[in-house]
Amino acid sequence: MELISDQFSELYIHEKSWNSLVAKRAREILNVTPIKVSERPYGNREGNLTGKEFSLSKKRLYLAPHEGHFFRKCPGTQGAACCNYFVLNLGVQCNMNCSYCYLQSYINSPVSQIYTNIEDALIELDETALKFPNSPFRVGTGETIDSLSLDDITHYSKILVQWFSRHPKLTCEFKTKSDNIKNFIDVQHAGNVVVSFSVNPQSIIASEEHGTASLRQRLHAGRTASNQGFPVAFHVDPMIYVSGWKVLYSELVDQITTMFTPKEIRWISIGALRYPPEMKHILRERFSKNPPAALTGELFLSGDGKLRYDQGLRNQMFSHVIGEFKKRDKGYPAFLCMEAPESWLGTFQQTPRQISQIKDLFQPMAAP
Amino acid sequence: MKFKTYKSSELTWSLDFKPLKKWPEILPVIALIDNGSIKVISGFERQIQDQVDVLIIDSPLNVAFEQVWPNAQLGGLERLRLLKVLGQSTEQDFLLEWPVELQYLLDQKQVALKSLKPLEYLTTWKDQLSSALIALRPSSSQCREVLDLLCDLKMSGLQWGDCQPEIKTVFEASHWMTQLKTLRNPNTLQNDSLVNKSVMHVPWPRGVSAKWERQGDQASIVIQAKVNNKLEWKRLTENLQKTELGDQIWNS
Repeated sequence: MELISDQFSELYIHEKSWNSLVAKRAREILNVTPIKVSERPYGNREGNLTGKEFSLSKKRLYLAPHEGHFFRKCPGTQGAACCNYFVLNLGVQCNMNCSYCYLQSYINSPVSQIYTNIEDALIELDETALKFPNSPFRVGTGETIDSLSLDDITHYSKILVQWFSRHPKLTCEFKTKSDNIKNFIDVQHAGNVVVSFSVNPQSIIASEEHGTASLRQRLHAGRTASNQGFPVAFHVDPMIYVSGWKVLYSELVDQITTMFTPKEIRWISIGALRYPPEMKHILRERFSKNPPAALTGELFLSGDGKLRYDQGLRNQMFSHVIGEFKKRDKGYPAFLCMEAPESWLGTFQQTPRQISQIKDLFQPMAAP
Repeated sequence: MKFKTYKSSELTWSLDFKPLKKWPEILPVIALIDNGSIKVISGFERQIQDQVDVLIIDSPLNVAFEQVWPNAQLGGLERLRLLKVLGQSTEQDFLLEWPVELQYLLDQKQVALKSLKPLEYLTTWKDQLSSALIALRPSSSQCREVLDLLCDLKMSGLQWGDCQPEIKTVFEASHWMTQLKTLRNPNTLQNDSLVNKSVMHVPWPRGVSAKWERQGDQASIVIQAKVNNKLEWKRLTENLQKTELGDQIWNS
């Protein structure tokens, strides 16, 4: 992984955030001269970013307060079984560079953003928790930005661990492809902050997940977190079909199950490569010299409008990984992410609410 | 306005953006004075004549072009060519490096400019691809799909020789699309073909036909039967229940 100090070539700080702790840390850590601004630099582009603009946006950091909502339901996808996940968005864009990243079709901001007003996000969470006192929300901070890769600037992990320790009914998930757990690992917690790692076989990480921590680094970070009592989770997502995939994913499962018992893992979500067709243009522009699996794989239009592997192949892939986990211990809690009932039936021969280990996640819940 | 006959060599023809439609023969060429020269803005094909009847209008260049060649009546590539001769560049100028004959075809078929983005990555196949498209004259949607497929195949490392229309089997664009789809998704389609053979060998009840059909990421058995009354329906459902589908269909 690149040093965080060299991640950005431009730093813009909104005048309202100039004296914030986040801005102070950014000025200390980053090797770049900050520029005070009164509005977002580069404006907002109409339509999607070009590949060049998207790549540049990863190098430009903008710190500013967020005016809108932070907390919302995970958008999921049409027709998929919903696990009642919520997201708390504390920024936009990711400083890493996975070839298949959906942000390439999602964001149109020419800069990476960190929202400096986490206190407003927590007020929103507080109000929601009060309004729905019996709803055990699972809230992730890694939908539009990696939860931990820029934590040395934000230290939001520490703030969130402390906040969630006062709300033990709720669950927070840090979802990351980094191994950056040092800022919160020693903070007292209530066991309701799940440290989760998106994982793939190392050869796929090397070819598709540029600028991320290695598999070994992620697993070791998970081990450290678990030793400190943090539940961990894994997202085997996106699974990518390559020659020898069965062996590679079996080895991945081996590595995880060698290091973690079922009790230490809160959940394992599994998904396969998927993306909206319009993302192809930006993938071609950004990766034409070394086309990624997203461009060369055999993908077809699915019912939710995304390109996906053949349903039958997906069922095989999911069944294989889940089978490998269950072979080692039936207690590993695996479920599918963003898949329709056909995939569940093809993989588990059951729907989510029929599977005892995970059925509670899929129960309807009172929520905003 | 002034109407006069000029020698072709007295006129400046540099604004020829190769419009799709010929200028009506009954109308004179339209030109204007710009920086001291008489610049033609319509009837460019008359450049080869010795003498040309010209109507010179008094209007700024951009205004004249907009009135003589309204934007809404121009094809996408036509518009790009016009902008280029007027000195304005766009992100899509790379499309103008493709043969004009192909540009004409694409405009005639009303292929949207954004669908032509894959051409940016197919430049090394320019001549062969242009010839193939001009010969096969795909529809707008076929063009979009063919270019997308070719782009994927090129990025997968295939050469033009692997992708070019097969002489013996490709007589129209749809045939070429089938060829390209087979190249693009060889494993899935080969599997579909094998499963389809298995499906067709299943001893279906009389009057029932079945095939393995793909719709996007889903492939399934599609069964057809005609039922005229309640008894036939009962017999059909009973017989279907007794029909054994081998594991090879579901385990492929």
